[in-house]
Amino acid sequence: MLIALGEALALTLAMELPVAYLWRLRGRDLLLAGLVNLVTNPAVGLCHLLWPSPLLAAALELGAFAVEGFYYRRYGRNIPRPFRLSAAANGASLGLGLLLSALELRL
Amino acid sequence: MKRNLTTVLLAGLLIAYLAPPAAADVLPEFRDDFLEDHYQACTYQDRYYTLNGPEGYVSVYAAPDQALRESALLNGEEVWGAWAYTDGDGARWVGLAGEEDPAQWAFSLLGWVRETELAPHADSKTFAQQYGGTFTDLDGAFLDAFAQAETVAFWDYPHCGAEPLTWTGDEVRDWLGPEGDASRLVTACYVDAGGQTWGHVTYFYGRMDRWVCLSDPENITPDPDPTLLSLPELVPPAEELPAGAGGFSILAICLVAAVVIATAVLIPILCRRRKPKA
Repeated sequence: MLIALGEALALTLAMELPVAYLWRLRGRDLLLAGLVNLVTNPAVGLCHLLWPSPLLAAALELGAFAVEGFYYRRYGRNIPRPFRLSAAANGASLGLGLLLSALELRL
Repeated sequence: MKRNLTTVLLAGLLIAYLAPPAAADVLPEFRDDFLEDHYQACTYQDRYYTLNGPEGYVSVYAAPDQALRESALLNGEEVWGAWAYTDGDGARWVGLAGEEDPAQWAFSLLGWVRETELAPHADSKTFAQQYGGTFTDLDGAFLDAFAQAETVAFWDYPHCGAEPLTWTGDEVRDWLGPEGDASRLVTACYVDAGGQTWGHVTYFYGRMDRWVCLSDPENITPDPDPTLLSLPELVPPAEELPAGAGGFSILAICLVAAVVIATAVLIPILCRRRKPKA
């Protein structure tokens, strides 16, 4: 279970940090982008493993978007449109996750 | 008044006469949340297994779609796998019957286990699982298989080796009725390596799952073939059950909670905004 959570976190960071960089986050703001994913991703991943349900997954992703957006706005030094960043980053990592799931099914 | 009483008594006797065969068709009640929610997708199978997990124990889950193990059972115990369910990934799960409520003829389900962690018994269901692809319809040459038989042997499965149940030929012919033939009794056929034809019986004075040798229905001498069914090797039970039924998952939950809380505390410290200079 821990390995699965670790892999999910690694993939999320691999996707969201580049998005944050493209959003012109630098220095502390980029660190913040990494840290907010430590707050949301393990909890979302654990809940999804324990209670697999598309409805719950959607609710968790929305919650993650809201929490990350809050952190960007509250603690970001120079983050333009923090909630849009959160939506873009989470959307990208969710899309990657769905793509990988689809590829796994095909294999 | 007297005529009505007589009618009621006769009706009661008729019902009492008919009741035993009908009662054999009734299933007990099974109490389980997952079973209730997914009844259409579950199959009643009434099958016995030996617990046979690869690590010496079997993980039991509250439902097939739960990631958190509820409990564990040591290998070697015989269990009644009353229900089966196939999940979205094609894996088969078995619902194990637990405690009985004799007052209501109801059972609770102990939980759900992966069928790969169960060793099936040598029985008709295992035979059907392994040879079902070779079953055929009843050959017309065997329609009168029971016409002259004095005894009919009903076996667990072909060449099982156990003593058969037997009925007299008259009892079988009575059941078939004056116009009936073997097609009333036999639902599928199997031809063994020796060329003998066997018929599968699923209903005979009640629900049944047995085989009759259509080529020689009167033969009651067991002729076992121990190599017929391939059964898994039994894994010895573990020294002890894993620490806490969901121990590993509780550790994962604690670690995740620790990471989330620590990071939530760290963010305001590391990412504190500088106060603008006066």
